[in-house]
Amino acid sequence: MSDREFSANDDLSLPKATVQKIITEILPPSSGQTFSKDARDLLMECCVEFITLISSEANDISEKEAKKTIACEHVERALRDLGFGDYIPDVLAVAEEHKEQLKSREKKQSKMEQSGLSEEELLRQQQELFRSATEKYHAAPE
Amino acid sequence: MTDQDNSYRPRSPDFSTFHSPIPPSVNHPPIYPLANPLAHRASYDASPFFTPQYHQPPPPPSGRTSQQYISPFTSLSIDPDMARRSSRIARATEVAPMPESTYVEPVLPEEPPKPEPVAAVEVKTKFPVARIKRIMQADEDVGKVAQVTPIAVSKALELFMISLVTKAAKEAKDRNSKRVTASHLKQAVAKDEVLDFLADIIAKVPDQPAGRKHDDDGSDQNEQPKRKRGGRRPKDDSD
Repeated sequence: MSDREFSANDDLSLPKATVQKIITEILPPSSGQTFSKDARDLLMECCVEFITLISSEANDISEKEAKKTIACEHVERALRDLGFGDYIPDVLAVAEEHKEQLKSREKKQSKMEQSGLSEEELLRQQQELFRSATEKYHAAPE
Repeated sequence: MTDQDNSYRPRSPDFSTFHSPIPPSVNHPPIYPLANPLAHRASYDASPFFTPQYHQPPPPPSGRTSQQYISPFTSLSIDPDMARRSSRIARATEVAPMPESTYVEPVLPEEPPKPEPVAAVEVKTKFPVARIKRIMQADEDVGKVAQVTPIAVSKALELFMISLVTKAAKEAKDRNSKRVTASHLKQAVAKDEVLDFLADIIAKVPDQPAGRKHDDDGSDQNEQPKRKRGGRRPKDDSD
């Protein structure tokens, strides 16, 4: 997305605005508490460290299994090993949701392909539309 | 209400008396925060407000039906073959007296509302997945990553953030501060073994902004705050 606008250094940190937004969602103004800037910056560092920790642990696990790609289950095991087992149900739910989304997206694509006729037929229809449009265009000014 | 300093306490103690005929499920769906996988066990266990008394009999519908189903002598005439049902009956009888003696001592049933957000926070804002992936792969050792992986990691990160922010906010609250500062976050991190991996990061943060009330936390953060919290709640146990 707009990630390229940031310098390389920022790249390895989380977007401040997003972090701030999430903090506000956790501590809404109604809670009467505000999160100071230095706390937010520290929190961001902690978050990056967390990602690094989880991914390097997941990486180790996947390497032990002689897998080249870190999969969701490796993350799951990493979370459990590192004492974040509480997170697993929610994490799996999100992963599952994502997979479902992918499936439905694929289905939609193939539906488009199937619903249409053969490629030649589609092309012919398109040409026809072009032709009728051109005719209309030429007819209009006169 | 004299519990001004103790803001975790419910404001309306006999609220439940008014609502007792209504099945609790109607008014408070998220009333069992303990079951939530998000629950930060450590802080809950430490919290004086989560005493086991709170375990209310969870089945709301049985409370109503059993009222007519359980006649006074049913509980006396449980014969051996009903043993399997005994647990259900036991529960039912436990609930049944409620309507009769409306007096049932309300065991602070409305307790969770304050600490509840800890677990029930729902964050709608999402992290940019591409960024998460890049951070993951900043480590040279980390190779390929499946497509779902950064999504899973970013969910975990969200939960992690909720836990950190909530814990830091609690530290601030315990110190009567409305502003959550880096040192509050530091103290929250120092308390939790699971967060040891953050030790290097929090080491940079000064313990407490100088000049402010420094309630003996320079010495050892692992014990002091807990003791303090424990000592502050005599009120809670006595009533």
